[in-house]
Amino acid sequence: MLIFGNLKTNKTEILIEKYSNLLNSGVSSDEILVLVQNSKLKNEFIEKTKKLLKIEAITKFNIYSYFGLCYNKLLEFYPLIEEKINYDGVVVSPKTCGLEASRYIFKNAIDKINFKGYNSKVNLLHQLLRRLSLITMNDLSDDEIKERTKILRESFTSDVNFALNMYKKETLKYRAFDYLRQAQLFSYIFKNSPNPYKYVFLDDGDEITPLIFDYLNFIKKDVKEFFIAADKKGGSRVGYLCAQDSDFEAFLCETPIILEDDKKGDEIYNNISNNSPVVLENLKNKEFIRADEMAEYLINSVNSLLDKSVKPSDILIVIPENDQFLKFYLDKINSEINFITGSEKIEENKTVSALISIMKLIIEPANFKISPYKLKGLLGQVLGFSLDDSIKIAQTYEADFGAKNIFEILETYIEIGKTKEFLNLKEELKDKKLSEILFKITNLFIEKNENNKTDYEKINRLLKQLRDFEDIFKTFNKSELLIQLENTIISENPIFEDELKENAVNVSSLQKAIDFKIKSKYLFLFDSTNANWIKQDIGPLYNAWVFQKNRIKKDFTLDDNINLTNNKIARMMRKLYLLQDGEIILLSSIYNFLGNENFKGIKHFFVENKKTTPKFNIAPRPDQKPVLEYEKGLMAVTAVAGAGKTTIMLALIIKLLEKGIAPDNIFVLTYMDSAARTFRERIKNTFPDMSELPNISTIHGLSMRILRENNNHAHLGLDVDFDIIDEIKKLKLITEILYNEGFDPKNAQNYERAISSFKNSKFKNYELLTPSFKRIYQKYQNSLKELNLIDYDDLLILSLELLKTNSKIREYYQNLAKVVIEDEAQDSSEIQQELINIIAHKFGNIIRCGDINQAITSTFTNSDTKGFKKFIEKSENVTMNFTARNSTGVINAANDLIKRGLKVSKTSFFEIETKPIEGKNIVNNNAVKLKIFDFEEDEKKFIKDKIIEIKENDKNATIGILTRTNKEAEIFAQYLKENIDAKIITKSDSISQNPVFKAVLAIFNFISNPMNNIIISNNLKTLIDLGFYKNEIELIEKIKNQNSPFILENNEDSPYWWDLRYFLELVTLPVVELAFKIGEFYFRNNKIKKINIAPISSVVSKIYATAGNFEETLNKMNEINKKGGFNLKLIDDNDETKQGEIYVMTLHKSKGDEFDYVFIPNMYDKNLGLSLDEIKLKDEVKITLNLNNNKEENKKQDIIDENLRLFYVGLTRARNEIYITTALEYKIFNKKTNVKASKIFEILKGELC
Amino acid sequence: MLDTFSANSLKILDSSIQEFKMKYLSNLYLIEDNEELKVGNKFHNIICYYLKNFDIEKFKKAFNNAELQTLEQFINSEIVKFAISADEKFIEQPFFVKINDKYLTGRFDAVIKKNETYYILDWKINNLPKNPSSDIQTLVYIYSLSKLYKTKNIKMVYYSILKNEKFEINIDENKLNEAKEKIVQIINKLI
Repeated sequence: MLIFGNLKTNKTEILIEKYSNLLNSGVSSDEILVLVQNSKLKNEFIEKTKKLLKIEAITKFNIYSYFGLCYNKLLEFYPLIEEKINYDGVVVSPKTCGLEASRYIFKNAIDKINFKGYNSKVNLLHQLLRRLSLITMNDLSDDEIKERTKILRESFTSDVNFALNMYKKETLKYRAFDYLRQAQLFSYIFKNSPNPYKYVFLDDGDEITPLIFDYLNFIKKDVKEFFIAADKKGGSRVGYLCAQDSDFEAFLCETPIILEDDKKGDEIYNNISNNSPVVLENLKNKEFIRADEMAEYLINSVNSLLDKSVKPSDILIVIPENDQFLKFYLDKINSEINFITGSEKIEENKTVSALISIMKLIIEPANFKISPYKLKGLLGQVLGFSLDDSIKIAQTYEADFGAKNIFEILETYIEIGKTKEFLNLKEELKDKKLSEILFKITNLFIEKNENNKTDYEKINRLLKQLRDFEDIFKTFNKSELLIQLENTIISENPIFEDELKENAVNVSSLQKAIDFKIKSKYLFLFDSTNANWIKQDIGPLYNAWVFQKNRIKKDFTLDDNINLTNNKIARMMRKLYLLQDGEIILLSSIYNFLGNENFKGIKHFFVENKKTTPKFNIAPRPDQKPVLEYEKGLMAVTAVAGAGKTTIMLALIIKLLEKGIAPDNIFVLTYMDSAARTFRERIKNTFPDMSELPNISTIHGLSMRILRENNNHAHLGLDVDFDIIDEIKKLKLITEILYNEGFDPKNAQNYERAISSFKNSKFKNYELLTPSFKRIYQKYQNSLKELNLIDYDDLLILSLELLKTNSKIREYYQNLAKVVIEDEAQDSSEIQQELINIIAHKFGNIIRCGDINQAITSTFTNSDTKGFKKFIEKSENVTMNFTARNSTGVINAANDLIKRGLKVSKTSFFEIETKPIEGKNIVNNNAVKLKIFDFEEDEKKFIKDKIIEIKENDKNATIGILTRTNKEAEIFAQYLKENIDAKIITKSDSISQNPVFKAVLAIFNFISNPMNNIIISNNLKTLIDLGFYKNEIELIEKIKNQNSPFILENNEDSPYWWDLRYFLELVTLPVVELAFKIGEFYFRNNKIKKINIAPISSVVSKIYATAGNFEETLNKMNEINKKGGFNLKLIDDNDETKQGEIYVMTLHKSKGDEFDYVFIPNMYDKNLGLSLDEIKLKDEVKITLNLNNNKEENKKQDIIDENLRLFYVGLTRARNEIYITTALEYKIFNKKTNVKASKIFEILKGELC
Repeated sequence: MLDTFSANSLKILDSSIQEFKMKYLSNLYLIEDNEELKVGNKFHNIICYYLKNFDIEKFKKAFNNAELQTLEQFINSEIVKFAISADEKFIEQPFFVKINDKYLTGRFDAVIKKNETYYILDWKINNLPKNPSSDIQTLVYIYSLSKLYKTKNIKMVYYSILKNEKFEINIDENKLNEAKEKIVQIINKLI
């Protein structure tokens, strides 16, 4: 019997009925085999059969999941296997183990193999296992494997085969078989044992692997009747374990019974397969800018559904990846949750993590130094100490960290909590097996109550893993094992299948949702523009398409990959659609939790059932008009400061969209993330219903897309899980290399810069490198490869290389890129320009927009202003030189500055004359004021007084103080805060200035030193500055001056005290979650500031990843706070400039801003050098000079040019008046130093021409 | 709701409802594993292979000298000889049997049919049950066997591997009725 029907039909019920009829008719249950997909479906099958069963007894239900069948057959027929093993160590029954133990065997077996041409050692094991899984599930013979490796043209085939054979041998030696080896052995067993089955049932036949199909074929001759149900368009394992549906019609030679299919489901399948969208009636499309907004919307919607008494189990949230930040949000759902994603870290469970710490303490009382942070959690949570006692003990422990061991300290607290039992147990257990220790301490500490159900589930998993190791290996290092297990991600391990709680909201991966057939009335597709929705099925060692059993093609192309991937996602989305019956809510955000751009995913496949036509009205000025009249070809737009560049670019994009160019065909490249965000937000606000935005990103965003999309990275030999090295890891890596090679590790930042500069140089001339730099460079590159990482420079270089060398990929983007628009073209790097030229080559439509006079990044980035100049020469030119922004005096000064600057240096400016718009600009011909003071204090006082004066005359005036460096901005902000009774806003990209970081750091410092009153007092000051605890200002002094620890006293009147106590209770949390909780605690209700909660937590997570424990993480954070220097990516949380406020920021940061009154202080020679002798090159610059064969003089000239332009930027910020000042004596590095006024004064006065 | 019981779960339910609920309804328990269990399994498995006519010579390597002696003694015991010579034997035979609206499940170590009588053989590694004839395992096994093979000619035989002791229980219709009654009574504790 063959039934074709989807999972919405009653196909399974038909099978169950047939099955129970057979049993009821007296056929022995031993003669009937039922195969289903997984243990959840198996249980459902059994429960339904029980209801139809009329006879009193059977032997058993021979109902198995595919893996369950392999497992059971191995146990039953193990003598067949043992008989063939020629190694010592006979066992009576096989050791069926989890992946953790088998990976350990694999790792040791392949340690010495070379893998020529395969670099990424971190993922090697994972990829080998994936390959093994393909070979096993496809039941491939050696010849079939050979044929496939030929198609892939691998250089490492023999190494791989050697490794896999070695692994097989090792598992035989140990008699240790994970689920993959079980499946492999099954292939031998079924061919060599009698078949007991006369009737075979198979449900979800579309999901079986070729291995199971081979089995069915093998037993076919003995089987009286097959009952098979399958979904013709089901097969979600296509591309993952197998690649083509099994042909059941041919297999059974039967006409199938065809159950009615779902039309909409069919449409989804057809459209997505052909890469086109589907209109869904029951779809609600919700788009957000940021991921935290999206997560909050999700939580609020789910909670309001629950409030309306919707059953929790009717809500299904499908997520593309296991994001830790999403998990923090999901905690806020007012119901239990089934988290069904197939992967998690043991460490994520608080209880298990605490138990592991205790185990470490027991087995290594002398060597294992528990982190004081973890200790606090252990004492309170596990040993039952009060908060006060935990603090005291932890403090004693920390005070002489290392001198006293924690047990000695505990001896003195024997009466409290479970100390006594613990100390006794510790003696008894110290030489026992880990599994025994875990067993005993769990019984002692973890109560058996309903709240601990999940904990018990996880503890049993850990127990199983430990026993695997103990059974298999005679010796292993216990503490190393614990560390390994702590960090293992339990993934796709079929022996661990979660039990689903009945009354819970389901949160699931796509694969699990369809495998478990989770039905829903409210289906949330979370983060639908995340690229991980579409799983990557090819990689250097792993190619699911080529390894398919019934592959006939003799080659493998990019198109194969795209088509097969689309077909696979079509199958999965169709199944997911069929499972729901109600509303589908499609959620997406432009940026992910870390502030990186999303692209692709599944969102573009689905369209809401409504249409809107965009309307955007702008009345362009005559100088802007030509931009909107753009038809085709090359266009260069030169726009002076304040000419309305962003608005006109936006208008152009919208015009193009209105003309009918698809969003997909428009590429917009911006220089900064923030600009990309602005463009997207504005387009989004103009067309709220637009489902797909044009491609708007930075060059890094585009490069990332080129590398990730369609698995293009595989062509570069990059592993599928490759990642970008973060700033912290990168610096650590370079520091380590310098140290190992005998160089001064302090130079790490210089080398970092130099390496980047070398990578970006057009002709990488290795000959010019010094031997030492060459060595460091090579070490660095090799380390990256081994870690499966690339850096930001590689990202650009590799994507360019892909476009240049792979014609398929090149054509793909060239066909897409009908129009390419570039913003801030003056800052564009050579690589960026080359990339634009390549992708725009087919249609030749490029619009580049910029202002050379505002190029202020070339001395510390790789931007190439000359490229834009050349582009201007060969393109249609539009000059936008009208502005309403500046007063007439400022415009005159700016025009003068360009003319005179060109006389100082021919390469400084691009000649253009800015013109006011009649009747719009403030008329003030005395707008530019120059002041020189003898002393620093006088200058500051002048500025302060002037601000007060301005404010008295016009309280709505906006004021900007623009400085040369971040440090100066901090000093000015501090000075003004102390001397002016007004709000001072600092705009800064520096992490130490970020309020979330400040709060997290403050609380971390407190948690580390809860009894230190000075820290508590300083923290209060910080937090009051941030706007909290305003009523407790007098506590600052009080706490500082008191002797007894503030936290241990009774201060119940102080909210600050209560909050600190609360934070101490959170010490059982993983460090990252703690940071997140602190961020949320203070900034949850602050619309602007809260956007950096996740990014700051992720910075903490990165630091923790290299630091390893709370204390080291905190040290590093304090260091960053003090020294800065990390280029950590946060989301620009600077609000738009508001009327009447006072801002302090650097000149660089001020670009794009405007103020009524501007101050540019500290304009002395060394701070704004305008002649060769005033410029001192930094060490890092010197290293890079050698690399590029550049002369010091040229570099200095570049800096002079840029200083002029930087000043031009500052000048053009002023709507009304500007004060340019300097003193002649400054305290520099705590030393009074005489300086000269910068030549800018002479230039502005017209004296230096 | 839980509707399927094993001899073990019924034993726990009989002694404490609390403990039963904790373990079988809430899954609040740690999976046991110890040396004795492992040794027991080893003997169970090898005798199972032996009775299924697999060659067990090689497996003897997995036993130490003391264990080997025990194994020889086991293989040469009356009961194993009796089993091996039987025409009809069911080794590691599972059962799933209805009792009112509930189910019993488990696995007989071996069932031997000789002269229309069914012998349930059960290997214990060390001690035999204190009161074998009223042990819950006996009740569950004889009831289940009577349903699975539709017979009332049943003998239940416990054998201690280490002690080389056996205990044989004759089952009659009364005994079967008592068994059902007792089992139902334990299950009803849950209501």
